[in-house]
Amino acid sequence: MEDLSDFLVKDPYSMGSKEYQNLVLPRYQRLTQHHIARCSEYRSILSAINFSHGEIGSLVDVPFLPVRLFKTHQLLSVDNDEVFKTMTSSGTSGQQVSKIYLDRSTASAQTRVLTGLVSTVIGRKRLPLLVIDSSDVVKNRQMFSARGAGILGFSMFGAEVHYALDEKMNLDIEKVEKFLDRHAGREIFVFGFTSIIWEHFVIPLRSAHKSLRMSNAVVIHGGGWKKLLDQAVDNGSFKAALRSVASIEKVVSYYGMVEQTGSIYLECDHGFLHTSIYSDVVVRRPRDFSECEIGEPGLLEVLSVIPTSYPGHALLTEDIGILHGRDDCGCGRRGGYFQVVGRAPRSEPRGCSDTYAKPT
Amino acid sequence: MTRMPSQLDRYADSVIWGRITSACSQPATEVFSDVACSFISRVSRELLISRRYADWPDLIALGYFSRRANLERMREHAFNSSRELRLGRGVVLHIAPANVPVNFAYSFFFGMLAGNVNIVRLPSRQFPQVDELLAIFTNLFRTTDYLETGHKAVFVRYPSDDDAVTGELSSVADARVVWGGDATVEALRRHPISPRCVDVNFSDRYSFCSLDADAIARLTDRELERLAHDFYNDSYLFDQGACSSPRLVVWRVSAQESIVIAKDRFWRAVRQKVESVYSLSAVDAVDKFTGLCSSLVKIGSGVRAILDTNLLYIVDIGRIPDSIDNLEGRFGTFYECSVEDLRDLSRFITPRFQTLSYFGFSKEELKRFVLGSGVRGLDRVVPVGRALSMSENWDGYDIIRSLSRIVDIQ
Repeated sequence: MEDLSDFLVKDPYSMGSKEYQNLVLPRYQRLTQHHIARCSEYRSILSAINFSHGEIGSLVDVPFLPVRLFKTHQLLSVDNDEVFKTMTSSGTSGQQVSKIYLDRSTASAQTRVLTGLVSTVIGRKRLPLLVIDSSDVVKNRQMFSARGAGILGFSMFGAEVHYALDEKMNLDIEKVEKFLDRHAGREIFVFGFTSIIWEHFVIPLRSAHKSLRMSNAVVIHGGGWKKLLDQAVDNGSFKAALRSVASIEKVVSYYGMVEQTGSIYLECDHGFLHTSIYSDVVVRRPRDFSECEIGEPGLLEVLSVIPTSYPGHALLTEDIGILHGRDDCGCGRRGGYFQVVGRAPRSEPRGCSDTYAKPT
Repeated sequence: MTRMPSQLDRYADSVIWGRITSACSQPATEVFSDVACSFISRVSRELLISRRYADWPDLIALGYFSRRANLERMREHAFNSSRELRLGRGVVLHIAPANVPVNFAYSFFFGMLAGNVNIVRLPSRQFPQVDELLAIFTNLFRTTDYLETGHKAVFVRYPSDDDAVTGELSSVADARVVWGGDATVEALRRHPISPRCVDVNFSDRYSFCSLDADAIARLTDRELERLAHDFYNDSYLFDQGACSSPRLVVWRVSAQESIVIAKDRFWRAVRQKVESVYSLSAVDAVDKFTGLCSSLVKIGSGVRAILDTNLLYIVDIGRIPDSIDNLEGRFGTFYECSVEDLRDLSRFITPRFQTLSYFGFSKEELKRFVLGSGVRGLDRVVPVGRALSMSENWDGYDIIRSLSRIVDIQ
């Protein structure tokens, strides 16, 4: 596969639909062909559905795998000895986790794409970085959990990296204040997972009646709203809380997953998640996986130009999303803009053999 | 019973343990006692007459099953060849499956008809059907006719992984009826039972459907619609999760022309039926697609999947598979293959096979097939449409006989 040089020189949000299609469609066609040639599991599935290569006339036609297949099968399109690291999704103990196999070129493409996207928020220069997590999470570098991988990925943007939580996940207020004093008046970058920022930063500050002066901070956070929505915390109240406990004005969430690391979807000032030239979404109807209309909620499929070492360039998630439009978001970015409204509610299985069944 | 069971107290009123203790001291009765038959047919009347239950097909099916005429048929059948004296074994512990709401009632009725005291562990999940049935039972138990019947029945609900309670209940049982598959059977086996205790175990099973291509090619549109309706009921009512729902469709083919017509007509009719009545939630659609992809990976090459709609997946695997382990399917995922003769199937039928639902075969030829091949699986061979119909003969057991004992008086 050719590398992504063509993509990386461009502004990720500058391209209108037509130019964009011309750029990416050949890439997705080649990715599909590449995985058919290199991954026998992928080939089995595509041959069973009688897929023929000429059918990809637009991104909607790119064949997709269910994202959960990476939990039950080892799917890779490179030889085992080319695998340079394996990433796993975060799951509570006992749950099956996704395993994503990266070779050097896929890993490096992830880094470069992430840089291209994040620099649109914080600029090209490195900033002092405060990670709202414990350094323990990144200790084992051979097996990356999604959380560890996210932190390491974003650490590239830090001139110096400090962890706000100790090994017991307690907020070290003193350490944070020292960090803030040292960088008073300069822009700083804060990264963390949404639920961890809430539980281990916002709540402890609130209960200690403590407020931090962080108006110079840019916060980027992501990694799932499910936990917070259970506690009735939405994006608006999350932002309001950060403003009240730490005077933080600039808070940007993102949507992404370990199965497509790098090509994340960043939130704009109008509260929408944006596709870029590296990534796209197709919203599909559960009944037949046909494409939804603009504004119609459905299952989110995510596309990424990055994955070459595993067949993950088009993945159907269990998340429900709404595409609100293309190229005409009020924020000025081109490309698609959408919302993730939640995860499809899981129903209990019906049937006979289940008395002791536990969900996987 | 002198032992004081105590573990249930955490979950229910301690009164329950008192009731279990006193129920266990009740006498067994003869099979098909008048009072048991009359109680069950009263439940049937209630279910079928009141409009209240019309929206629950499983309650209506239970109502039909338990009506007086069917009980008479079962009694006739039971005493057909002999007038042997049969009594209940004593105390039967029923472990109902977690996700089939009405199954506990069938199990309870079988225990009653066999003449036993019954302790029924209800599904741990809450279902309105369970509450409706318990309300009917409780009302009847309050009437003088069924006071004693009520003393012989206890319904309990507790977390299924509470081994202490399951252990206590197992220790007082003379028979256990264990639904819920391999894992549950395995879990119940860990608990000591009395030496005379008999277990009736319902393990994980696999079922398939066999259709004669010529017969289907010849059907009128009306007959075809009826067949599709029956096939739908067998397969989709429990999202294809019931052990007797078919996942594999085996076509018997004598002429190549008729198989093309037959497949096209049959699946078109099924699809029409499914599209008019079935709905698939978003997460189930993803699960179904994931299961399909997983199977396709395991089977490898040489298959053709038709996925025009997520409501119906048809996977043509060509010939009979070497094993059924690769053929996962839920929510309407069907694998199909062709044979020239039923006998071609015999080598792949393992003890895991339960139900063969058929269309276009005569009973005689099916009997010859089963006898001639000596297969170790296959306990039920029923026409399409009856795969889910509960019967006293299930999984190769005559449940009522299994839960009673013969007293040989010479």
